[in-house]
Amino acid sequence: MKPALLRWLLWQTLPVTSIAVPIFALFVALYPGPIFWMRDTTLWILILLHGYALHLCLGRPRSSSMAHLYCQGFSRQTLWRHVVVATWLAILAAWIPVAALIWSPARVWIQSNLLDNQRFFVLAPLERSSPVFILIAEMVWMAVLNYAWVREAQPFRGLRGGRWLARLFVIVALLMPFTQWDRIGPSWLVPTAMACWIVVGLIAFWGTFRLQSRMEVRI
Amino acid sequence: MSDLCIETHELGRMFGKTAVLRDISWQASAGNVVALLGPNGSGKTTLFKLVRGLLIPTSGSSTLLGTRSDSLPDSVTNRVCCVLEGCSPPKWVTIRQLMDLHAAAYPQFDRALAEELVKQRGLPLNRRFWTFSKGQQRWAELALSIASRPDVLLLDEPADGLDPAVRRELYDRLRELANERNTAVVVASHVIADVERIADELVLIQHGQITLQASLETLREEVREIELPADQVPLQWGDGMRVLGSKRATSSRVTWVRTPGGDVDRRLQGCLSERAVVRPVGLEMLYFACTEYAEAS
Repeated sequence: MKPALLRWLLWQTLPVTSIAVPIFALFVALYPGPIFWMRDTTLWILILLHGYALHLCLGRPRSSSMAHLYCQGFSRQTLWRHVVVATWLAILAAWIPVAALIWSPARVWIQSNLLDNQRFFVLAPLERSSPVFILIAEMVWMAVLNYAWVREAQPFRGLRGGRWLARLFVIVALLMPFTQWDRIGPSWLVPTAMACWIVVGLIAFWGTFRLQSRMEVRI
Repeated sequence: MSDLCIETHELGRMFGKTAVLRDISWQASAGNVVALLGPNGSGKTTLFKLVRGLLIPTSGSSTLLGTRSDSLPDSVTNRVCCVLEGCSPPKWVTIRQLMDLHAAAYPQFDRALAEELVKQRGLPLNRRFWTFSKGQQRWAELALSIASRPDVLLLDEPADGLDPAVRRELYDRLRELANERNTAVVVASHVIADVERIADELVLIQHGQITLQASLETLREEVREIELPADQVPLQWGDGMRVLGSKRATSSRVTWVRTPGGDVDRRLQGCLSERAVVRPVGLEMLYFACTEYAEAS
């Protein structure tokens, strides 16, 4: 890894991270019930917006600053590796304060003492696993966005399949909370859905890895 | 190791149905400065992008330091610097941050030289890029590229926005890089007088094709400008002589002729009347002869 390149990429995500951290922290701190990643539309909107904003910072081969980076003395593999790590670090930077709020007594204290939500401490254990699911959801979303970006930048063909996959992801993510599918479906539905999300993320990640070396930098 | 740093073979690129480059076969050797000239939209920037691997060719192939341009490893990319129009660094960076990036990208990066070049023009290292003028930003980018001590340096319109003193400094440094470090320098520029001072070779691209490719020394020896009175009947040129272009004025006709094979002036005398005036040709005039006045020939 090249720390200077990683720093350079993280610098680009800094405006998004500095806006996202307080918004996410406030949302989680003030949210009255336990947070379930599959049931909350606002949470999904935050995940989708944050992922898209990061994508704009790190994944635009048609911006002059990205083109500048691709003109420097790094191979495609090196650049891609660093973009992936920078993306993951930016996601962690935004959600770790949220995880800290959930896993520490801070959220229970805020709800009980400041917002007078006395029954929250009983429900709090139900959301313990949410930060992990949120991280997985956003990583899958970033993998899909990166796939869309890299696929579209392939030479000669207008490959828009990646964009359709991203649209499908958004539709599913926004519709899912309304269906209450985790409550009414059979017990195997949630783990199966989780596995499907992860498989989609892995396929998108693998596809991006395969295609990135032939990506064109057009400005 | 071969001296060839860049080699393209029948390289072509289409954008949609438009052929931007066609059948470009070209080589650049270590230690040479190549002037890449051509009108706007002739395909110079596309050629740079194909050579650097930023675009994939539709036909033909390109190699950079012996490796195919579309799969360059770190060991090649860290010996190649490329400053292209429109590929500027983000406005929020400082020159120091840019230096850190160059140091990470190029193992041979000379930080002391970079600082010297940048400070020489009064640019503070810790100020954001957007606070500099266009010419200062350009100089900062160029200074870092020179200090990266690459084996291949590709510069697209490097003089854009630079004042005459900085331009002179730039071209002196490029010549120095080619002479002392054996760097292959390729400069695409419209400021012909500047590149003429340092270039060893000329490559002229028009409508996506190379129309002229030769060393400057050869062109100086072989090309002449011939001015004839307008009433003179057209001349019969000797074997191998090629008319590059011609221009008709009110009282005379000027023709630019290339005569390969040496002994140019004596061979031309055999074709010309006493009223003809023969002159050597500078690069700028040659450029006009091959572009503006070429169709009239």
